[in-house]
Amino acid sequence: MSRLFQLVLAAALVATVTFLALPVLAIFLRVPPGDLVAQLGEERARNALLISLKTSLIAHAFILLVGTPAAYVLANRSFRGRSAVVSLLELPLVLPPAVAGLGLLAAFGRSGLLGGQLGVLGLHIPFTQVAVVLAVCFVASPFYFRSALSAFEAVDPALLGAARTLGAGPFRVFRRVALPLALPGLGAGSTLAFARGLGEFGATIMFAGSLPGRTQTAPLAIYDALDEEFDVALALGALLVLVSAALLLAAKLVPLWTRSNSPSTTLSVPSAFR
Amino acid sequence: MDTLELSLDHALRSFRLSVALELGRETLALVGPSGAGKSSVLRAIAGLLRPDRGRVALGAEAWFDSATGMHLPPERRSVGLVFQEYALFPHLDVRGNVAFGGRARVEELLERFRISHLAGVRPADLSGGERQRVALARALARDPAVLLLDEPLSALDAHTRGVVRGELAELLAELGLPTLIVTHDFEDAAALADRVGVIVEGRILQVGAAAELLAAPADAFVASFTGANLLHGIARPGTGGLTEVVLDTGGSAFSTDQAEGKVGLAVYPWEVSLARTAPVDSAVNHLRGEVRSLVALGNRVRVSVGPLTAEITATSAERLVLAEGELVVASFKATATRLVPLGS
Amino acid sequence: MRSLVVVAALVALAGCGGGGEDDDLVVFAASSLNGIADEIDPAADVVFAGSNDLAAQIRDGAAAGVFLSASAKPLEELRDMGLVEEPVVFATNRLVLIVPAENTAAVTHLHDLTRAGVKLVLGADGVPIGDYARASLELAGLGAALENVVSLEEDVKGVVGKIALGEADAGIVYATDVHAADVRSIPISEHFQPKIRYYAAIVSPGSDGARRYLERLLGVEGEAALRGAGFLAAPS
Repeated sequence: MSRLFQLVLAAALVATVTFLALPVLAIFLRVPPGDLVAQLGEERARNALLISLKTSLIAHAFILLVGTPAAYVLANRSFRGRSAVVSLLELPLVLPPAVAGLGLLAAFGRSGLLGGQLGVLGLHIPFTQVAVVLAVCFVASPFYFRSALSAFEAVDPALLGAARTLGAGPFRVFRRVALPLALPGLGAGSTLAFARGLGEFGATIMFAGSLPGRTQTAPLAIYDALDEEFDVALALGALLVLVSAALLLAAKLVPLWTRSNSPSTTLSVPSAFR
Repeated sequence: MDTLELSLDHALRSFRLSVALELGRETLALVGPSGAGKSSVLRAIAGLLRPDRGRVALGAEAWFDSATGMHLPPERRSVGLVFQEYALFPHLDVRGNVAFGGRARVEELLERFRISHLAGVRPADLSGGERQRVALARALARDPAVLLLDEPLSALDAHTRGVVRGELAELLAELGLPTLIVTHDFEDAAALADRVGVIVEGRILQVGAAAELLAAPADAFVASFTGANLLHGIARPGTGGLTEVVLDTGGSAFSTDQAEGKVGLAVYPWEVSLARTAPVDSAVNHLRGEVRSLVALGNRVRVSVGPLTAEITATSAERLVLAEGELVVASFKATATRLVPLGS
Repeated sequence: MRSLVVVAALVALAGCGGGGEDDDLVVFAASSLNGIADEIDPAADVVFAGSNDLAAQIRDGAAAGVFLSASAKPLEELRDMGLVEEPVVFATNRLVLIVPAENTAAVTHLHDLTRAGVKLVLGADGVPIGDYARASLELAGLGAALENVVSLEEDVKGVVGKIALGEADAGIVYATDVHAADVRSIPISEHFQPKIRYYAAIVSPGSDGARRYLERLLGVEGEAALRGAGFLAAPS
C-alpha cells in the first residue's frame, strides 16, 4: 500500500513538472535561436519591447513610490476598517484582468466617473500610453503591496520605539530602521510585481487598445502576430519567458542575499544564554 | 539635576493605571507582577504612550500635560530607555547601534562598557551580558536626563544575572542620574534601587526603601511580594500583650503586632530557624511539620516545612541531616512577625 | 505512468476528426456568421472567431470539418498547403460605419473620419474586417483617416466593443454585425464598398457530414438564413 502511494506521488510530480515545463520548452524548440534574434530585429517586435519596457518601468516607479509609504502606514497603524482597506488594496489580485480593464474604463474613460473632469483638463486617457501605465499599475500593485505590508509588519515595533527614544523622528525611523529591515521583502515583492506588469494583457487591451508603435506592448504584439507572423510571436514569447525566468530567479535570490546582511526580525535571546 | 514629576491616569486593558511619582537624583524601582502596568509607566515617561490624563515634567520642562494638550514626541525628550529584550538594531553592528543616537560619545561609551573590542560585531553574535552593555551604552549616547530600564536583568541566565546586577548597581551609582527601573523581582529591586515602589493592578501600594518594605509591609501583597511567608489566620488578643493568630493551617502563632480578625502573619524565611526538636529559647513560635522540599542557593538552602519556607545556611542543613519527609520544628520569634490586613 | 495515459488520450482526440457523423461535425466560422452557421445544422459544433485565427488553428491541425471564412486570404494558404478543398463563395456582405449612440463626435459620413481628433477603431492587419475597411478607405481616397486610428482589434467584437463603450468615436464593421443597442450604424456608399466575399471550404479529408453541411449552406436553407441576417447573395 505504501509503495503504491509513493508511486502515485512520484507520478503526480512527473506529470506536474512535464505539464508546466512542456509549453515553455516547446516555444524554444520551435524556433531556431538564429531566427529568434532576427525576428526581434523586426520593427514591430522592437517597438513592442520598447513600449513594454517603458510603460512597465514607469508603472513600477509609481508602484514603489506610492506603495511603500502606504504599506508602512498600514503596517504600523490600527484603525477601524483597517482590514477592509487592506482587502481593497489586494482586490486587483483576484479580479479578472478584463474586469480590471472595464473598471478602469468606467473610472477614467470618456463617459467614466472622472472622464468629464479629465476631459475639461484636456486629459484623455484611453488609447494612450498613460492608459497602459495605469493598467499595469492597477494589476501589479497588489503584488508589491502585499509583500511590503508583511515585510513592514515583521519589523519589531520595539525597534521603532527604540529609534525614537534615541532621537529619530518618524521619517528617520522609517529610513534608518524600518526600510533596511524590510528590504528583503520589498525586493521580492517588487520583482514579482514587475513581472506581472510586464505580462499584463487583458486590462491593457480593454483600456488602452492596441496600436503598434503606441500602445501595443509585447503581450499584445504576441496576440496580434499569432495568426500571420507566428515566428515573431514565438520570438517575443521566448524573450518574455527569458525575462520572466530572470525576474523569478532575482525574486528568489535577492532576499537570500540581503538576509545574510541584515536579519529582518529582532533577536530573541538564544536559549544557550538563558 | 532636575526632578522628574509624574502623575498619570490611563485605561489599560483590564484596569486603570493610576500612579504619581517623584524621581530625584536617585534610583527608584517599580516592582510588581507582570501586567501590573509597570512598562506602561516607562513608556509614558519616554513618550511612547500617551496617557488619558496626567502630567510628566522634568523640572520646569513639561513633556506631557493633558490639561494643555501638550505631548512632546519621544525624540524630543531627554530619556534613555533600555528595553526588556534590548531591542538592538539587528542590521547594525555594535558601533552602529551605540552611535545611532549621536556620534559624539561613542568611543568613550564603548570604552566605559568594555565593548570596544566588539565594535564591529552584530547583535546576533553577542552574549546576553554583552547585549545588555550595548543597550546601556546606546541609551546613554544622547546624555539623557533620565534613565529608564525595563526588566534589565530578566533576559539573563541565573549566573550572568548575579554578576551583571553588581555591575549595574555600580554603574548607576557612578552615573548619578534619576533612574527608574521596572522589575518583577524584589531582590533585584532591593539590590539596585534607593527606593522601591510596589505596583499592583495599576496602583502603587507602597513606596519606600527596601528595608522599610521588609520591616513594615503595608499589606499582604507587599509582604508576600517582598518574599515573606504569609500565614492566614484569625487574630485575637493573647497572653502577655501578644496577639494570638489561630492559623488556618492549624495551630497558633504569636505576634507583637496588634490586630484583630482576619490577618496575614508575615515572617521572612531568614527569620525562621529549624531544629529536630523544639528548642528551649526565647522564640515563642514553634511549628512542627514535614520537610517538603530543599532548594540549594549557593551557600544557603531554602527549606519548605509545612506552610513555611525557611532559609538556613547550607552547613546547617548538612549538620541537621535534613531530607525530604523528615519531621522538623520551625521556630521564629514573635517580634519577627508582622500582621498585615488581608483582602483586595 | 499516469501522465502517459493522459498524453495518449489527448493524441487520440487530436487524431480524430474529419470523417464523422453530423453530430461530430465541427464547423469553424467567421464571427460575423454568428446566428447563421449554427442554424444551418443545429447538431454541428460551431466555433466562431476571427477568420485568420481559425485558419491558423486549422494549419496547426485543428479537427474542423468545414471552414467558413470572411475573406479569401485565410483560405488561400490552406488550399496551397492542401489542407482544404477548393473554396466556394457563398455570400457577400456590406461594410457600415458605426458610432456610439450619443455620437458626441458628430460623425455622419465616411469623410468625417479624416477630421482631427476623431478616434477610429479598425480591425488589425490580416484580420478580414480590418483589410476590408482599409480597402474601403482607399476606394474613398480617405487614406489619411488611418492617422486617426487609436486601436487595431483582433476581431469584429473588439471593434464593436470599443464603440459600444463609448470610448472611440467610429469604427467600420460588417452591416450584419450591428446588433448592440448602444451602437448606431451609418451606411457606406456602394462606391466605397470593397469586394467582400465569404468563402466556404471543406477541410481535407472531407467527411459526408461536411459535404452535407456545405450543400445546405449553398442551397435554399442557407440562402434564406443568410438573407434573413442581412447578408447578400454571392454574385455568380
